[in-house]
Amino acid sequence: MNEELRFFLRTALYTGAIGIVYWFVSYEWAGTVMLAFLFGAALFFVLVVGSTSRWAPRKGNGGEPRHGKLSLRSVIGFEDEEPADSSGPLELQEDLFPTSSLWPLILATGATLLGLGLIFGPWLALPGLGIMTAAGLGWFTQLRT
Amino acid sequence: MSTADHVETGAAPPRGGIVDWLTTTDHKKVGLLYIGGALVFFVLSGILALLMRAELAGPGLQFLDRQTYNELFTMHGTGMMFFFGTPIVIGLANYFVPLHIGAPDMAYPRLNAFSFWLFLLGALVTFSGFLTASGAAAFGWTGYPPLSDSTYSPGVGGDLWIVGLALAGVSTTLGALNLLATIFGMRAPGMSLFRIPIFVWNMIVTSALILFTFPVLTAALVALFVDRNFGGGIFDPGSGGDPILWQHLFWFFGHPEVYILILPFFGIITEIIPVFTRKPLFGYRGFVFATLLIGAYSFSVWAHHMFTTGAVNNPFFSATSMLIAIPTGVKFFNWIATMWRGKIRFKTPMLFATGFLFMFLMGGITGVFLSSPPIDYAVHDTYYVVAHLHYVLFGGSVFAMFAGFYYWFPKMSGRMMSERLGRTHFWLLLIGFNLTFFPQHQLGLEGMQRRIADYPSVSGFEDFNRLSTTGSVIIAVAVAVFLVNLWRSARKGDPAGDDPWAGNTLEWATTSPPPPHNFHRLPPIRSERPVFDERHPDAATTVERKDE
Repeated sequence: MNEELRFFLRTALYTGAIGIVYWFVSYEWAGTVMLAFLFGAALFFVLVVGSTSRWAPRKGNGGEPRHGKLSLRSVIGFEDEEPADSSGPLELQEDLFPTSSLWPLILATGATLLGLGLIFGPWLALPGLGIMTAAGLGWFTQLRT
Repeated sequence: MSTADHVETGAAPPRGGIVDWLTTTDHKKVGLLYIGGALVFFVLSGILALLMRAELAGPGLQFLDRQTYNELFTMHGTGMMFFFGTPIVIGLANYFVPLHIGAPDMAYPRLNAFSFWLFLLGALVTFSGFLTASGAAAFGWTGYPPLSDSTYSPGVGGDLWIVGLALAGVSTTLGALNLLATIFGMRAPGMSLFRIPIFVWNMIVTSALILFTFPVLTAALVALFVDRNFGGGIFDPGSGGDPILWQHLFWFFGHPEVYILILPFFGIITEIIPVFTRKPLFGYRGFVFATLLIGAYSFSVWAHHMFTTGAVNNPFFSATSMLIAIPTGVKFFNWIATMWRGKIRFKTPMLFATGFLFMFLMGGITGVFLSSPPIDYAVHDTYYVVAHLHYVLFGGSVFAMFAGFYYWFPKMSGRMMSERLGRTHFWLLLIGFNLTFFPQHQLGLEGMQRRIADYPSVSGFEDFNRLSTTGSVIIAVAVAVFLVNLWRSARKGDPAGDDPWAGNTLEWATTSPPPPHNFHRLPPIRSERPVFDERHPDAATTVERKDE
């Protein structure tokens, strides 16, 4: 089981346990519900990280997918998997790393106008929404150069 | 000259103009933007504090009215916690996490830039309350209703506070997501999770804390906004709501927030101490385990801020709050063990790291006292708490931040900061900080409440308040010395070279400043200090392969 998965699994176990203890010592709803949501959030990450790592081929392992073992020791232990040999910097894949973009600033400006519009009225919120829409379209269609 | 030529010679690439900075997605430039923005809010919030200290220098009102004073402490706390403390963490992580793990950039560069601009705009929205007729928010950075509802805080300042914080909160959450994706998905070959620097481990836990707790703050802010503007009654007992609910929501976020503000700085100290004692880090796995425990425990201590409400289980939160001191103690002992019998070089980064150890220890000890409800009942909402929080946040985070600046400035700029000015900065800050905040312990024990604009002349608080104000002026001078050092060193500092400190981690394997996308070559990664291993192959730490 990889350490990333164990990180979220430990978080889920801890928050689940402390949530149960907290309920029975306090009978207080707000804290219990928040701890329950925390447990759910950690579990969500366990599912996401677990599903991507279980079937993803791993470097240095002949491309075989890894199958995690679920035991208490594997969850709370700190066994480090043997990493692949070090072999130089990650290759920069030019088409995946944008070098510059104005869309983040424009999107942030639109979001701010939308927020201010909630206070001062639709005359700010609607342009903010429009700017955000335009920025979102620009962002996702931006040619990566 | 082309960028490649600059990279080959190690000289700094030509600086872009304003358009370059507005459109950059390079994690290093975004990191510098975060750091610069955070420092601006540090100075601004610090000026608000100086105004408060000037007001409190003597009994009675000097030059401020009560409403303005309330705005000052609200925006000082908000500015420092949300617009200085958190962004400086994200900024330093932005710059150095990809370097530490051998990655060319963050996982989502444009999302990274978006996070910065959203933080900056959110901060400006919050502070724009000062420009309105009704003034800025004036209900404390904790925003407790009913004071923060529309009856007792009418005017747009409170709404601007809510919207600005919500924007900044979304920004921080996206930044944390980006950091986790980067650390989990973009480590260089050979860089297992147990070979990453402790700073990166601390950023993993910090990012998880952000991801799990900022949404709670956002929900609370939305609820408060609905109460203020649409008569929601969520926190209004007259409408069936409960103001204590706000406190639960806020502190469920608020306590992990203070760990968000300290864990990365623990990481910085853990990077600096081994380099300046010329010894390997003692207890790498102990540090990892302690960090994980602190992160986990931070979710179960929130209501120690609510002992005096009578609405929470005091023994539960007292026990968990005392327990959290244990992993922190593990870190302290490991730092000391790292320094034990080392050849310590007291350069400026190490001076600040040592100052951090003493100051944070004092703050931590007063925190353990406050975790005892009988003591807390006596000193809650007094200057004892103000003293505690400043010892951990200023004595902890700010001292460690300065340690990190002096340590990493050569890497970011290619120039060394002045040692003479650095030492002057350190000693002035140490003296000024202790003069400001140590007397506040006694003020709290004598019963001086926090968040008050004046105090009666017969209270006996005047002498210590005057000492505290004097100390705050010395802090201001110290920060000015730092800013002068920063300015002069950036323009005329001595060339730093790639590795001026004989560092251990991967950022010292590339040029200063690093080229676009960071590395032309990486040393073999066989331990948590690959640069040291390459420099000293005979003393290299290696992991034994199981099949040998």
